[in-house]
Amino acid sequence: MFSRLLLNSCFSHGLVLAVGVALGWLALPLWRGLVMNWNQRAYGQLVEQCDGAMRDHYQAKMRAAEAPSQEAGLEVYSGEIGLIVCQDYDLYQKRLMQWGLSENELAQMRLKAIEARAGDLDEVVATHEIRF
Amino acid sequence: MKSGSNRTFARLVLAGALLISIVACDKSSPLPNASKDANATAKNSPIAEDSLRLSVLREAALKYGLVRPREMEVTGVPTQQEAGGLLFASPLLSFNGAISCQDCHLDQFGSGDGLPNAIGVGGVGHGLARMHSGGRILPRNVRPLWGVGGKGFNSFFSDGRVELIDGKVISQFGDKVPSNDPMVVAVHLPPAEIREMIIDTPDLRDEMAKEDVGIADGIYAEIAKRARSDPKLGGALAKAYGKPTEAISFDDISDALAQFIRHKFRVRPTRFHKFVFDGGSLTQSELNGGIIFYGRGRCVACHNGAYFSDFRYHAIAFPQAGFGKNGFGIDEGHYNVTLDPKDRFLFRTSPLFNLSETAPYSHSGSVMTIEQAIVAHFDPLRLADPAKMSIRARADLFQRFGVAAQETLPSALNDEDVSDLKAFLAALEF
Repeated sequence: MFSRLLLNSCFSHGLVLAVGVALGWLALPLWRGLVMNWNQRAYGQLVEQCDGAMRDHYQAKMRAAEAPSQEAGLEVYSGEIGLIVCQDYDLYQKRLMQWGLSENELAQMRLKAIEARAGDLDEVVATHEIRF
Repeated sequence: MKSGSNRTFARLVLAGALLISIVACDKSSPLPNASKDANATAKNSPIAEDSLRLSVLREAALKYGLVRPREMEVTGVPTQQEAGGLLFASPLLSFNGAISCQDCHLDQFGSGDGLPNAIGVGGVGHGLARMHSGGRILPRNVRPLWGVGGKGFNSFFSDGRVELIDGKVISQFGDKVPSNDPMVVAVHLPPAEIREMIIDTPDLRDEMAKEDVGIADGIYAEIAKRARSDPKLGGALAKAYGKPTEAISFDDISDALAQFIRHKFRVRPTRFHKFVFDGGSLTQSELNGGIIFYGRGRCVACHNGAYFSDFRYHAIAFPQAGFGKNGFGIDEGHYNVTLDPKDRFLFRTSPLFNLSETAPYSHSGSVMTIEQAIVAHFDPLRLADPAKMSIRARADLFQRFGVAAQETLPSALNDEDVSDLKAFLAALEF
């Protein structure tokens, strides 16, 4: 009976679709996990670089506001050039979204990058905390 | 039934294959098939095509003072330059030894000597052979001569002991400065420097080591006398300066030397000049390095202008090689010139031409590679092994860190950034 059903093209197409949807449904979290894992290092690096560039730019602007000079102006200009790395960050992030990552997952990746040294803190606490 | 199952299976395989081929073909994808990091794909292309970065880099170079090399050139008189070339190679400039300028400023080492600390009078041969030849060690690295004395090149030696400030030459000659041209004043110094071109003997030390301009004049008079007596040198100088041989003075000699150095080591067009002024190309890595140099690397805060030097004094916590200008492995740099405590550990910003030929780097030649030299600017701890240092050395390093940390520091650059910066610096070669 089942073999006869398989010979029915409507049924077989429907089955493939159902299996595909089921596979897709089951594979989606796995897929996203893989994409996140593969890209954590590069994306995390861009997060860090863009954050540093934004901070440098902001501080250069503050210095220029406090003590305007040609030198301070050029420092702001260098800060602006430094911000180019944030464009790389943006483009990379958009490609990750194209590959199915949501804003939540991207936030998780950014958090991981920001807390890259959290492991060290755990070790410090484990070594030094007073145990009753 | 069997053929139906096979067809279903085949469709699934086909769908999988299609997905894999999409992933594999999308080179802009951040998936592992495409690249391991954000920039690797771009780097595989040899010629940069990123129009935003290309135009930003061109604009930044001009804004920070890059000019065509011919605008930096001080024109001279060919016969006087030729006479200067003979003097540059002549050991007659050494008061009581047998060393010439050329012994330490060698073509094969990009006008340096390839050694950490210079080997002065008594040294024989080149490179390592010279280091082991028993010559007097000078506690500084030989500075390359590229661009020296060109227009706007107004600070000489790594501690700036000759400098043009507000149109006035400041040097150890005080108010008895022999010329208003700082380059001419600078070439006066090596022939009068004990251990550099003068052998240090007890007699000589008693008679001559007195920081006295009159004693230096005596040395210059003796050198001029020798030049006049040498048929080749005397003839060339007389012809070049249009005066009888017996009228040749050290003023003519220093002028000829200055003209020769200015001409031989003048800056020529680099690939970066061609990129900025003539629409030349750069590789992706060079372009990335250039953007870091002018942007978040903040290198340009000091390495700016036509020579990639602001000709001011800054602290970089390089390791110290050798016994140092101040002994005990210490070199207080510009402080030795000004005696102003604010100038401790400061050195003149080095120009950046032909770097690959001029290793080792830093005022004492303590780092061997361009990568290490870059790293010393923002992560000097990577180059130090405090556990192996003496208390004194560690304390000195700590003091240098303190001064260096006040400089405009680059963001923490990763190894790929450093490699891109190195590629960019290679575009400053000619």
